Amino acid sequence: MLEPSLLVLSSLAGGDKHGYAMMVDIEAFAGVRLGPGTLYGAITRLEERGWIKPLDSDDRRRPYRITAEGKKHLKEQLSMFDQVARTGLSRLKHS
Amino acid sequence: MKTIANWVVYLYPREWRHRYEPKLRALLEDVSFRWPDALDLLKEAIKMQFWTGLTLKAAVCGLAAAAIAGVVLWLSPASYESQAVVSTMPEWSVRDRPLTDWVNELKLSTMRRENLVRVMEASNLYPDLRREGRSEDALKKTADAIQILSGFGTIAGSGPVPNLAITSLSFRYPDPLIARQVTRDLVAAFIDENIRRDIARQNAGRIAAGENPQERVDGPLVVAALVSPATVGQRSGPKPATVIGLATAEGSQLGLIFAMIRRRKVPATPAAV
Repeated sequence: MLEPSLLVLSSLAGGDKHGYAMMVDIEAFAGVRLGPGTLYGAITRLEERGWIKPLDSDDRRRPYRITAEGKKHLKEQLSMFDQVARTGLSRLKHS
Repeated sequence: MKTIANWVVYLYPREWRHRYEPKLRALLEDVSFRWPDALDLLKEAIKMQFWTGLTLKAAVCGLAAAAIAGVVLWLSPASYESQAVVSTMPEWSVRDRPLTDWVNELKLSTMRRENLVRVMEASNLYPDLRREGRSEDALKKTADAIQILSGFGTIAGSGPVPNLAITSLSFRYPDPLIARQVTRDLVAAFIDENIRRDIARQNAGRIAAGENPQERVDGPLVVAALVSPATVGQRSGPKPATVIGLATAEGSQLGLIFAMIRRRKVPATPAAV
């Protein structure tokens, strides 16, 4: 299973979202339902690292946005996963 | 179910709640809450307390301080202290000088170089230093390891002038049995010096009276008696468990303070209401 942080980054890569919207989005594209604790644990870590930032809002449901560093990190991680996936699939094909 | 969730939110670190609680509560209002969500919140609250809260930082600093204290204790050689107690009491007619002066002079003469050399050689103290030809250093260390302390008092009904001195003689050394032997030798030196000074005091009186000096005590004297014999050396300084305990407490406290200072420097996002 993918790290909750990567799922959150992937969700935000598709646009700014608040917590509930992220949960719904992640469930839709990854088939994983993140619990509210796990989701906010991931959000906390990502914000501390500067990979996402909260946007101003009058509502308590504050949306988050992925930062340039966040995009860079996500790209690196997904590229690595992509390489691992392609290698694994190719080996399975020849076995 | 949501009531439980709302209670679980209070388990998160206060600093974290200041920043995220309104958003998390808004999320809890939106989701269809289930039992696993309550466990998920609880698990994350515990994790948060340990990994992002102050608790872990304090615990890590406390453990680090305890480890440092342990290493320092382990590296520092153990020292054992033996102690003996001697009372000094002049007989009724010996009143030609105050007891305080008498005992203070006695302490100085016990620490005479001649006595220290005898004590050092008898117990073969600091053999490494002496083998290297650093006998003066060994002598200084011997003197530094000796402690002689006196307290003065009066025997009930005998007037305001002190007529009883209690003197504690102690010696610190890495070997507890040698510490005891040296303390015994110090007590012997103290009592010998007392007799020597008594003879000198009495001879002064004899000479003043036109008599010949003698090498013995004759007549009223200052009695020095052993109250408590030299103990086998007890480990000096605080107990290792006490040192490690204190280091842990102090380390945790410092860790907590530093973590809080650090947090104050990080601007917190005001909680959206």
